[in-house]
Amino acid sequence: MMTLRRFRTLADSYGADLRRWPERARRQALTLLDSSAEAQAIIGRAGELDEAIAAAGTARLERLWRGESTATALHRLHDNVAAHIGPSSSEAASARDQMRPGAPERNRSPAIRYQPRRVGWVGLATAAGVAVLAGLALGILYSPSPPAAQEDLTALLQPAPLQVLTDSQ
Amino acid sequence: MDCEAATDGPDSRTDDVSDAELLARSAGGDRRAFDRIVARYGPLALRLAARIAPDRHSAEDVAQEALVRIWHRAGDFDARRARFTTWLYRIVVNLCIDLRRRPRAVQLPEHFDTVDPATGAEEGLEHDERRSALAGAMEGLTDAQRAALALVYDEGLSGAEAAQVLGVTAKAVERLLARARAHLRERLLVDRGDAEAPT
Repeated sequence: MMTLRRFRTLADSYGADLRRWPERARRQALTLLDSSAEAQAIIGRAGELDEAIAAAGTARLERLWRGESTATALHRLHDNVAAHIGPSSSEAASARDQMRPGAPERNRSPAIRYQPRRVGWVGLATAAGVAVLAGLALGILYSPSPPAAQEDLTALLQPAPLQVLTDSQ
Repeated sequence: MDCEAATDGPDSRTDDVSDAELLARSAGGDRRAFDRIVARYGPLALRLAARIAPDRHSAEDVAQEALVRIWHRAGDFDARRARFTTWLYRIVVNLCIDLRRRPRAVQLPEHFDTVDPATGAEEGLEHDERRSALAGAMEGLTDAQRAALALVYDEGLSGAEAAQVLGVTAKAVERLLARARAHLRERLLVDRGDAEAPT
């Protein structure tokens, strides 16, 4: 049998809604409520305070979220969390797999194939090499027949004399 | 913002993948799985943080930090030991309590100097004062008292479940609730002349 004192203690903590009370105390509380006017008065006063607490909680939230909507705050939360946790490691692992030599080209996503810095350096190096080779080839084609002594690798690497100067000599 | 109307996420009723499975996938780096966790539990994290934290920015910071921590520690979750919500509640509550310990710049509430054109100046002032008094009564509680109220009264946890979240005994939760109610009775019912009565 629950004492009135225990009943008051639980009402002081959990209020008038018996669903909040510890499960094993509910049945005894209901029994006491049926028979005790004092218990009913306690629950009545607890109910008034419950309503005041609910109103205070609502007022506090209204002040906290003034002018804000649920959807906006939740979208912001979602975006901020996404920004903090960065890209998916599974996506990163997939990207690494795609970069393996021999990985089929058709499976490579554009984002993975696009390597601006690497392609830039490779492109520059290739262009420079082509330019050097082209220069050498032109030099060989348009230079006068060199003396036999100059027909070595060192001579080939020298700049070719301009034709107009050669003619004027 | 109608936090009370917020559900546990738009997918929570139609999404049949368990929290444990989504967290296991998240632990493996699956961002899409974690997106679903955020969709399910972001509203809950924000709602609870708003009940405890001193202002909106703090509440949003706490909710965000809680979810980021869960992402980083998703592999630690063990569904056999606790429900995911218990873990999330605990992180949010602890972050809110830690928040008070850090020095923070004082922030004025947004729209603090605007007048609502829908009501007369005097009526608006009275209304604001009344709402401010109600809200101010909650501010007089400690974070632990506000957390206990939020968990038991708003989130519907039992005293034992709230005790697990707060890391205290069920008796300690009862005491937190009783002190919170005693404070609020003094602040909220004093004008009605029944503040002396218990409960």
